[in-house]
Amino acid sequence: MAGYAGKILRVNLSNGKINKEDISDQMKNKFLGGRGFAVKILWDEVKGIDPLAEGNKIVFATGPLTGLPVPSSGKMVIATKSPLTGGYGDSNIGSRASVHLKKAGYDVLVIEGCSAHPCYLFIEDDKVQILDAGDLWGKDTFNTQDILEERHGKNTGILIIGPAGENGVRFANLISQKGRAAGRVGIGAVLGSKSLKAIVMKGSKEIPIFDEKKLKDLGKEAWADIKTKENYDIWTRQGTMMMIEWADSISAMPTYNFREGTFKFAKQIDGHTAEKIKVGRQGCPHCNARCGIVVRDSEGGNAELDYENITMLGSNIGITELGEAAALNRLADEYGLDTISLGSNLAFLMEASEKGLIDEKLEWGDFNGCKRVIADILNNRGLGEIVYGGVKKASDRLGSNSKDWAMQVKGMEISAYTCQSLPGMALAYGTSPIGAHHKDAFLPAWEIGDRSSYNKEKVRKVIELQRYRGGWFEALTVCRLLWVELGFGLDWYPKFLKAATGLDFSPEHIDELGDRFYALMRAYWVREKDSWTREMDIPPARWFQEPFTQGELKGSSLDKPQYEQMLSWYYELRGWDENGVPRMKTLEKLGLKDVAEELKQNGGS
Amino acid sequence: MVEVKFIGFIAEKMGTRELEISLKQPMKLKDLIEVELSKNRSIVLINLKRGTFDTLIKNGDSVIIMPVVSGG
Repeated sequence: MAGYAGKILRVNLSNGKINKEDISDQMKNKFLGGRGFAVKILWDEVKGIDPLAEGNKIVFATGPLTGLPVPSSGKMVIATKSPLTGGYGDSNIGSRASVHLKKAGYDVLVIEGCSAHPCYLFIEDDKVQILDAGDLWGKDTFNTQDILEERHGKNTGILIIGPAGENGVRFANLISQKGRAAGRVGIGAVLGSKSLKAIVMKGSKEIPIFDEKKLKDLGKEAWADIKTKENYDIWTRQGTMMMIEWADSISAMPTYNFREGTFKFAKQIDGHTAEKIKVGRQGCPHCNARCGIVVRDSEGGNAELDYENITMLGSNIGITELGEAAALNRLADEYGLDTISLGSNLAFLMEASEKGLIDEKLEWGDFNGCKRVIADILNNRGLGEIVYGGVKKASDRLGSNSKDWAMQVKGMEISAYTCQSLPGMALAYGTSPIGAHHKDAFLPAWEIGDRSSYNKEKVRKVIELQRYRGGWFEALTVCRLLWVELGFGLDWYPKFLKAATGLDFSPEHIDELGDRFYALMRAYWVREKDSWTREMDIPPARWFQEPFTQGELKGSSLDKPQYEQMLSWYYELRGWDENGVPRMKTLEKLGLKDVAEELKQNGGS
Repeated sequence: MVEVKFIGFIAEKMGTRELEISLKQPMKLKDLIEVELSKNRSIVLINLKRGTFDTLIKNGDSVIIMPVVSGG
């Protein structure tokens, strides 16, 4: 089928075996690409193992639009059984790696087994080599990028782990091009457990296209349309950093470990301030609305900023100067630590220190203290030892109700929106398929005028967004930001897909695809977690029990019984039972009869 | 006094991020602020509750006109 390279590349690091398999048309029709391929492979092949054991696998999956001449088609989904959560975990990244993997002739790369010594993978079209990485082990991701570019050329896609991944930090990620990140779910630690330092990809093949002229014409027209959007200019200057002013003004900005939604020093860390210290931009291949804002940080380094990074390493830990938040961001990228989880773990330690639950002092806004803790996290010592496994495990250890303010769902730290007055967004976090992340659904702009309501409309909106953001875009695999941030039309995408592959996708078909992914991802959680309950879809007690003490929404907090009601509606609309487990008939309707049968053995209804 | 805050590209269109206006009598927002915006790409909040350009504004109100965004 056109639009695809047509192959899965499997590399087993235990025995050095390399296999190339065809992807069936049935797989393409049913799972389309990206997240769909990833969850199907993990469901079939990664069962009941420790995420850091030899049996775990890492799936790097592109989609039918990846690398083709349409806007923002430089994305890739990376998935594994998460060492942070123990459940399904994935992440997407925009970098040259996705395009090179597909042009090398592979839609999907699956890493299996464990190497006995540090290695890296070099894929150059048909030639696939496992090379020694003894000289790279211990180096940060920026240095490693330079070395590998010098060795294999700049025109390559490179994914790298830093010391955090090598040392097994449970929220270690992958970095590309000195600032592009993937792997909130601890994918870096899984690569580290396999002694795999990096993957270098170099592809030179043409990707077959169903109607090449049509696709090129559509792409050209689409790129021109994007430039006409009224948000375009500021978006390309500030990227997601423009969100800081927005979130602060509606009391949604994570502040002092999600206690508050507004930050007195917001203007000092916002997009306008970023413009003053900006030194460049980064972006994904095939994007003409590049949103990576690179600034000079307080220590003279260059840091690529996002809203989430800067709020979690700024307002959420009381850092008031953008340069300092940017420096922490850069350090996290160099070491290969997820910035969102890092910000949450630092805030957790600051609050624990304030409450006297730990002996060491770590004050809000203590920049040098944060740097010391980061070094401790990498080495699993001191305060770092407490949060090495994330805030959930840290709260299990500290006890004393600290779980109430360990800001996580399913073991993953909440990304950067506080929800004391946003019940729909709280549900989006609660039901996100990887743990608390905003990728799949974002409600604030939609529910902002009716914040106190807990109704079915909000639940339907969460599902609608999950189908598109978490299903369609993650399968294609293209960036959703042109649609959601700039207002680029959704109607472009079925046209792109048709021209690329010949496949017709109606809105009903798109909904069904998303529902299939969601049912399978949920089934994965249920199968892999012996202790699955609906409690795993409920955000921490802070949002229910501790109202804002500042700002125009002072006194606001979530209502637990009403949240539970929304969660029950969510399950009902999805065809899941009262514990959030997909019903057998729902799975069968979605073409997942084999999954239904396997879940039945685990007590499904 | 009415406080009006403009965010993102709307601030750029207006040439300012904040305005303070004193009203002699309540008036519709559209009579107070003139700005051309695409349909469904902006949000009006009056005292942090959803409003429109037809909402009546009075002294003491705080108004935010912001783009529809989606949090990255």
